[in-house]
Amino acid sequence: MRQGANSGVGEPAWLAGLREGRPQDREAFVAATLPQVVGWCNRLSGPGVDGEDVAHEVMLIALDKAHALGPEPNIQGWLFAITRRVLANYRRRAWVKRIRDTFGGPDAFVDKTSNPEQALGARQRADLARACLDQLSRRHREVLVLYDLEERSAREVGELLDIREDAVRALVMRARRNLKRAARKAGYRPDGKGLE
Amino acid sequence: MTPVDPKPHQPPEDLQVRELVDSLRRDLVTDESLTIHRVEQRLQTPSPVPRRPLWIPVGAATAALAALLVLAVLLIRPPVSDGPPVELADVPEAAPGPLVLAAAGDVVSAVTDEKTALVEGGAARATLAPDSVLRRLEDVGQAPALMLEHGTVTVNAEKASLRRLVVEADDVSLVAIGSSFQLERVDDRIAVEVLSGRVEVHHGDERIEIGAGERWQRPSLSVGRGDSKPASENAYDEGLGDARDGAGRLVASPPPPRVNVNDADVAFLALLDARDSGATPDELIVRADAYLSAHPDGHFVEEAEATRLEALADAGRYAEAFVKAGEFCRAHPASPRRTQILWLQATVARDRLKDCELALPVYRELVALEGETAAGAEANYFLAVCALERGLRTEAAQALNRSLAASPDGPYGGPAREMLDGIEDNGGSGTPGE
Repeated sequence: MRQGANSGVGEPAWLAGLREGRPQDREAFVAATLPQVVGWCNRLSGPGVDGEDVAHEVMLIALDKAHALGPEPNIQGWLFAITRRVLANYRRRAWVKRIRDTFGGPDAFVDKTSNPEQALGARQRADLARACLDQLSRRHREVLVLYDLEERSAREVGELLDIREDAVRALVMRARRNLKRAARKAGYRPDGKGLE
Repeated sequence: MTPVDPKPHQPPEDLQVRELVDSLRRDLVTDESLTIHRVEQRLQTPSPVPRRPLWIPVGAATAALAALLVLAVLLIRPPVSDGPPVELADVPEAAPGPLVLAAAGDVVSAVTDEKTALVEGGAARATLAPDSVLRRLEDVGQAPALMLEHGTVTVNAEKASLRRLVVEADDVSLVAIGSSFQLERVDDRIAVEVLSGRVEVHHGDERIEIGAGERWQRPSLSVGRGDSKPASENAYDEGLGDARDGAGRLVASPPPPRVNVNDADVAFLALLDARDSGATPDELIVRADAYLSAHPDGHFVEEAEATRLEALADAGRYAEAFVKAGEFCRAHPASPRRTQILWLQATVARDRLKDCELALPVYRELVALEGETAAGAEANYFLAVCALERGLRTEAAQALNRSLAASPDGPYGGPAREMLDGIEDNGGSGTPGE
């Protein structure tokens, strides 16, 4: 999507039809944007949140609101804004559920007593990675995912988050500083190796 | 062409942070193609929500004094069905804010997972089962009002700060007074079970109050809305015996179907003929739809629905087959086809949608139904496969042990043993062959 649906540099062919609700253009929009949305949901979802549900809801909202898109819209920024709002709802509900369930359930918290060296499996590694990111503030988590994990430039991140480039760099520095502490707190170790 | 950014991404200088970032990137890069496929399917799945008028006037002449105000406002409230009909696609209207039903028109839906919505700042909670839609209506006097469009909702309105809560489903109105209850609306069936406190049920001119542990079900619509009577009277009139179940709870038994049996039989036989003569799944779906719309009360509705479900799965419409199978099982809990449909639902979820989270509860239900039989061994085996996929090792081990106990030498005996060894070793995933 970073080529086809990005911030206003040439309108995608499906944009006009998307605004008018033409089925084939809605499908083209989904095909162009869904992989990026799923990626964001996967990386930003946090424990107890189903990334698929979030992505589904984001796409429903986007399709519903697409008619109101202005000329040369920043599609990525718009989608990211929807994603973070939906994610915030899901994370809030997941948190309430965790508290209500008194830390029960398989998805409630990552089992920190498990030993990563004993092949927890890709899914559990991913859960642990999300638990690590979950220790960061929302802003730090977002810049870290967009800047470091997705390797975007500060300008791109700034466009997505609607903040200035220098603010992105400052946030990235602080997020990186907090990352080690977050990893320690979540019991996350890079590739099973010790941090210290 | 996107212009080249003069300041591209700069990796972290701190080696530990760089190592962490690289590791996070690797761990969070999973195969997302399946998720993308499933979301695409969900976006294409049509809404199962029926479009029905929401406004049903309620006769309140015989209501108790306490309910008079509520009912009077119900009578003067303008119709709310003028707005757009509810579709699952409407759900996003409520999504950007917190999941609350704050104002008239707010809608919350649960598609595949349970969802909880707050009413009046959390004074009441409404928990929607999957495939349910709940809408906020205009307040009834001082009482907030909700409409269950479809599905099942568990309402908790026990807080003292919320004196009354009105919940409607079609022409049934419930007034909760510091109580919690479960309301179910599937097709024409509307039933309420009180979990705690007391609930007033208003239906036509009827008003009854039911307490904790009691259940009320709307008499079948084929009786006619205008001549609704208390549930027990209907049951006695139809000669169906006692209208209370073994636990002494009030239950309205449905009257016998009133259909032209000959026409329905002929139409159903035509459907069976089509199935047995090799009609395509799409043709079968069309024929089943025709039968079901022409004979909604026919003797073979369950059979036709089951045939349609199988055709949906055969046609590759897996998400729809999964949802409809769930609706079938909820609508026909005593159907002899229920177990078969549960198997279809579980297999579609696990094998076609590749979604163990969806399949898991269905296999649990199958395990309970099949018991210690060969089919039970199979259900336990696949329950274990799904549980393991979800990281539920203890449940997987228990299911495998049950599978082996039920059928140690059956076709699933060897794989079950192998998987159990994998779990007990705690070193592998437990999946045979790995």
